[in-house]
This record gives sequence, C-alpha cells and structure tokens, in this order.
Amino acid sequence: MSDWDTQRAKLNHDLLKNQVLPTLDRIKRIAEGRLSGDGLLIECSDHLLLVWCEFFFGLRELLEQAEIDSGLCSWLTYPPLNKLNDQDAQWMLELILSRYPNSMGPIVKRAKVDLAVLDHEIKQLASGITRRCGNSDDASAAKDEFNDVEKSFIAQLITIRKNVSNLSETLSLMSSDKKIQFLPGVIAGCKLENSDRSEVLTIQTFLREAC
Amino acid sequence: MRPRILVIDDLFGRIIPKGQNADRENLCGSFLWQDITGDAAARESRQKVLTPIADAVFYRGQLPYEAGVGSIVENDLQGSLDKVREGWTDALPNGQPPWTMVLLDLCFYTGHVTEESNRRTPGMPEGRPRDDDPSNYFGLALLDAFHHEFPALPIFILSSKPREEVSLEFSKRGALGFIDRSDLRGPELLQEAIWYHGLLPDTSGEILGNSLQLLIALRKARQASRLRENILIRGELGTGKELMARYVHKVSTLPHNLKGNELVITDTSQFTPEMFSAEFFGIKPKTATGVNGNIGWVEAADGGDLFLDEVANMRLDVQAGLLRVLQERKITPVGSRKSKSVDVRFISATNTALEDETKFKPDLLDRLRLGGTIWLPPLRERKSDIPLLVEKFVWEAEEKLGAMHREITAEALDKLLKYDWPGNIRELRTRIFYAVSSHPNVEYLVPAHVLIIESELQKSINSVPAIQQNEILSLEKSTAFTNSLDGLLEIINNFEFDHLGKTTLVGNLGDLEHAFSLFLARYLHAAINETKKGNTIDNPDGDIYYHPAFKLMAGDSSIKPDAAKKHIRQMLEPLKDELVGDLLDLYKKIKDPKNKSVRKHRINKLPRKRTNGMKQ
Repeated sequence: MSDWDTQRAKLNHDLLKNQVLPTLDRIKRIAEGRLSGDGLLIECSDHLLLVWCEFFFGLRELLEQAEIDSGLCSWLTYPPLNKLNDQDAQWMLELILSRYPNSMGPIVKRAKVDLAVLDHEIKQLASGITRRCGNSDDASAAKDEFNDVEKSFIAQLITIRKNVSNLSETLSLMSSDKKIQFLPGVIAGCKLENSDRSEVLTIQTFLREAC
Repeated sequence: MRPRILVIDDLFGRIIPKGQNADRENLCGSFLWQDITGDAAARESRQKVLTPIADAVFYRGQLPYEAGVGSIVENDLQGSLDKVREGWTDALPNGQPPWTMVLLDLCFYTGHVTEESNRRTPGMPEGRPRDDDPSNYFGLALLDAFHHEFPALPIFILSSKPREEVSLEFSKRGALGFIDRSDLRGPELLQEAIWYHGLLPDTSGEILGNSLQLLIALRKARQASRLRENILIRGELGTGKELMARYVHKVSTLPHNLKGNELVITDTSQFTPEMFSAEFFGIKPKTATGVNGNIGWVEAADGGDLFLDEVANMRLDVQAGLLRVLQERKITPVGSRKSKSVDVRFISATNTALEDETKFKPDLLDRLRLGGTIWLPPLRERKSDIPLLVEKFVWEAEEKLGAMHREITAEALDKLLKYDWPGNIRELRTRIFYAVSSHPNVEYLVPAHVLIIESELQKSINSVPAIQQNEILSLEKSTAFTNSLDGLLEIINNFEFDHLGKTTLVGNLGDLEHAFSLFLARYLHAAINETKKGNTIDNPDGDIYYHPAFKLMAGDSSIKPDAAKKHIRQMLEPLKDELVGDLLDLYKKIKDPKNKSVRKHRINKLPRKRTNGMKQ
C-alpha cells in the first residue's frame, strides 16, 4: 500500500468513521432526548468541529496530491499536449475524464465537491447548535419537547450523516492504482507536426485509438 | 438487569491522563450503553444515558492501559483472556450473570506514542505497518484464542474496517457476526444480535437463574422461536420443560400467536387412538346422539403453538396419527368428511430418550425437532441458581401459607447446595414448601428445617468415593487458581503418585501415556513459541534466541536449576488451564466405574486358598 493510500485509509477510518460519524450520532441522540448532561450538546458540537477540521484539511491536501500524482495536470505540461491552447487543453481534460470515469480524476473531483458541501453543512450545524444553546440553559435545550424545530434539526443531522457516509464510501473507492498510466504512451505515440492544429488532430486520433 | 457486554478495543478501551475518553463517550452515546468500566474515563464522563440498552465494560487489550508520550504500546493477549475469564463463570458476585456478549475490534495500533500521534488521539500510538494488515489483525488473534478457550462465548466483531477484508476469517474463527460501527443501523443491529445470540436471563422472572447452562438454553429458545418449525425440549423430570415452552411462545416474533392462553396437553401417554382422534382433531357436531361436538386441540391452536408433554410415552399408533398431521398439515374431525388445513407449531417435551426406534418413530422425531432441540440442564449442573430459586420459593411459600418472613442462613443454603437434586427444581420447591409449612413462625430457615435425610445428602456427596471426591474437589479448586503455577504443579504431583493403585492403572496405561505425551507436546510447543518471541521486530535479523527452557530440554548443562525453574514457570503460566483440563479429563475417565477398558483388562482373580478343606 502506498503512503498516499495509507493516509487515505487513516483519514477515512480513524477520523471520519471513528470520530466524525459517532459524534454526529451522539448529537442526534441528544436531540432525541436519549442522552443528557451539563453542556453536553456544546461539548459535542465543539468536538465535531475539531475533528471535522482535522479531517477536512487532511483530505483536501490528499486530494490535491492525488490530482498532481494522477498526472492529469502534469500531462498538459509535456509536449505535445503543452502546445494546446487553453480552450483545447480544457477540452482534452474533459475528454480524458469522460473516457475514464472510474479513474482517480473523476473520483477526486466528486470528492472535492462532496467535501466542500459537507464542510458548509457541518459548520452550519455547529453554529446552529451554538445559537440554540447560547441564550438558554443547555440542560433545558437537551430536554426540549419533540417539536417541529427538533424534528427538522434531526432531519438535518440525518442528511449530514448520510452525506458523510457517502464521502466515506467515495474515499474507500479511491486507490492510487486507479491513476491512468499511459502518459508515456501518449508522448511516444504522438507525431510532431509543423502546425499546432495538426498536432491536436494527431493527439485526438491517438486518444481515440488508445481508448 | 441489563445485558452486560465486554468491548475489547484499543481506541475505546484506553485510559487517557486527562480522564475523559471522548471516543468512548461517542460510542456509548450512539449505542445507548451505560459505561460501567469503573475506570477514570467512566468516572469523568458527564454523559447520562437515560434508557440504556446495555451496560458496557471496556478493555484496551493492550499494555499499558494508560499511555502517554513516550510509551510503547503492545498487544496483550493474556490480559484479554483474563478479562474474559473474569466474567465467564457462574460464580460472579451478587449473582450477576456472565458476559452477555463480547465485542471485538479488529485493528489494534501498537508502537510508540509520539507527540504527533498523542496530539491526534491522546494515548494512541503511531501504529506499525503490520497492524493494518488484515492477515495480522490482533482482533482475529483474540477471536482465535477466545473461541478455543470459551467455545460457548458469543463474540461479534465491532469495527469500521471493511467487512469483506475479514468475512471469511471471522467466520472460520467462530465469530457470530460483524457490525459496522459506522452503519447508521448499527445500534439496532447490535440489539438484535444481543437478543438472538447473547446470553440473557428471563427478565420476567418465570425462569429464574443466571447460570451459564441455563442462559445457553434460553438463547437456544430465542433462536428457535424465530421459526414456525416444531421444537423439542429435553430435560430430566422437574427441570421446567413446560415453563420453557411458555417462554418460547412468549418470545416468538411470529405474527400469529395462539388466541388466548397456550394450550397444554400434559400427558399424551394417556391417549388411546380413539381418544387421541377426538381430543386432537375434534368431533363434528351431531356425529352421534348426545355428542355435541367440540374443536380439537390442533384446531384451537391454529395459527399458534401447541405444547405436547411427555411425548416419549405416546403409543405407537397414536404417534402415527400425529405424524400424519405433521406431514399433511391437515386434520379431519371425527365424523367429518372434510379435512381442514392448519398452521400449528408443536412444542414437545420429553425426559427420556427418543432414539429407540422400537418405541418412537424416527420420522416423527425428526419432524418434532425440525426447529431445534432445547436441552434443559438438571439442577445439579446449575447450582449457582439455587440461592435465587430458594429465595423465590421461600417467598412463594410464605405468601401462600401466610407464614412469617424468614432469612435463609448460610448453613441452610450450604446444605441445599451440597445435595444433587435428582428431582430437580420441582423437588427443591417441594422441600422448601415443606420447610416453610412445617415451621411457619420462625425468622430464620436453618439446616434442620430442610428435610433432606442425612443418608440422601451423604449419598450425593459420596456418589464418588471419598478419597476421589477430595481429589476432584482439590482438582476443581485448583482450576480456579488463575495466577498460581504452584497449584498446577501440586495437581501433577498428586495425580501421578498419591492416589492411584495398580488395578486402576490396568487398561489405562495408554491413557496415561497419552496424557503425558500431551503434556510434553504442550511443553515443547510453549518452548518453541517462547523461542520465536525472541526474534523481535527490533531484532529481525539478529541472533536466534533460544529460550532457556528449550536449552534445558536439549541438555544444556549450563542452565542453572533455579533459572530453569523460573523460566519453565513463566512459560507454563499461560497454559495451566489447558494442562489442568487434560489432567481432569483423564482423571475422570479413569475413575468412571463404567469405563469399559478397565473392566476388560481387569486382572483375573487368583484362586482362593483352601483352609481345612473349605474355600474362603
């Protein structure tokens, strides 16, 4: 297992599954009135933010590394692909991503989007908890009757939990083995022509044949 | 009393210097467990679980329990075994039941606790690469060891590692299932697992007791109750077969339960074929003059359960009628030409063997136990339940007879515990009722009140000859030595020389040799394992380390006797239970009067000497 995979597994197992998910479950139990304790809700919320931030920054760094390592960015710096203009380079990237939907590139892209959405949701949740507990006795916040506000809070928690589970599954699918390794082939297979246009056409032909 | 589970997990079981283990609190909060570990983490927690579904005891499975920066954390198999052993016995304080279930983590991180690892998760080490290797999970090693030593212990894996990594391995090694910690349904799945696989007493108090044997029978009942298949209950007279049938009926999650109370046929041996048909299938109205007709037992039990007691006494021709019902699932009331389909689960009971084909139809037996057989232990095999039962029967008798409330003295209880109760619970109840009824106005129940004739009591104690009884007691007492190798050595000395005569050895030399070979094999195995331990991760290519015990066996005279003794003691310490187990088995076999090999090889008696022409 590469270092990258080890780090990914640690983030997924040690932080996401062992800390983020259980903390969310605990907050849900408090909201359901099955757990109580002085300052418990705020304590859980603070802990959630702490572990989430650690996970967020760790995963973000890992995803950036994955993008670099998978070569999708670096391919465009090598000839002949470096001769493409910006528009064609973007089109080339889209083409490769669409040809290999299960490779690291598309998965990384999905993960980045999910991560950003979750980051927003969790921070919203935490600030909502702070507001709830801010002006009232925390013990009474935990003892609130099961009303509409509570129900929507629990619904929000369930949604977040589901999204975290989905992210965990996405992370499980990631593997450094899924990098596309045919960059040397691309370089070797492309013929250098005098005009840029003909080079792009050659690359197009090559990719069509390679895929 | 709530289920009591043992959770062995490096993350949740650790104690951290600050006291609070947030990860453990998260888990308890999520699964609604009350942390009763009793350590600093449990004491420091401010979390209150309002309606816990279980009490949880946490154990790290590693040493040291409390690790800080600079500590080196290693897995501790022996400590984990000791922890399980602590709660896997009938002799727990306050009549507490044994572990309901053990939950095992898979991956245990070992190695140094660094500043960085401590910052991330206080008290946790960095981990070594092999820790994360599924083929090397410490949780699987624990599973192996537990399953070997405690085969009846219910064990589940509780982990957030991918299930598919270990599904074959944990199935092979005896785990009953896998619960993903990160699964939203995890708490519900675990509750269901506890119900069907855990050891739980009957909370209604109808079947009283916390002994291992009884809890295993109750678990079997809950498992069997899930199906609509027929169930057979076996046990000696007076063990509570009817109560068990009621328990099965009560815990069934089937949609159709018997309307009203469960029907009971107390003695099927009374039925003649004609009576059987009328009682079982019913009689159509106006079949004959003066006959009003009635619904039979089977039709009345349609959609539910029917209890048949003493099926072994059923006549063969009556058995044929019952077999037809079980095969066709139809009945034809007497006097009717139309048959009716029925959906009935038969719960049968017997105190005798049913395997004699001349007395009981084998195909009927097979159909009666399709859903499983529940074995009820005799009272002498669950003596730890006697105090609870006595308390209940005394109370019942006092209520029924209007007698004065009394305390049970320790001496009276001791007398009750010494007796073997051939009549089981029914006999115990009878004797207690007699004791209360014959002494209604006393505040204490003393030995003299309990009418067990001295000869009956002595017979129980002397069911094995006195000298052997002492040996068995001393052997059994020695099995309770969990920390003393002296006890083991004492057993070996006594066993070998002091109490066996020549005749008892006859025909058993093979067994003794086998026992000795076993002992030697275990000794060798332990010596080799100790040798392997010398090649550590820090010294993988270093000198091969031969354990002094191994050197001693190879005849190395440089090993001093005292040093050798010390090393052998250390080496045999983890094996003492296995060694004692082997010796106990052999000892009992030799002493069993039914041991055919002894009879076969008995020395022929010498002819008597003649004296004055008369034989003596």
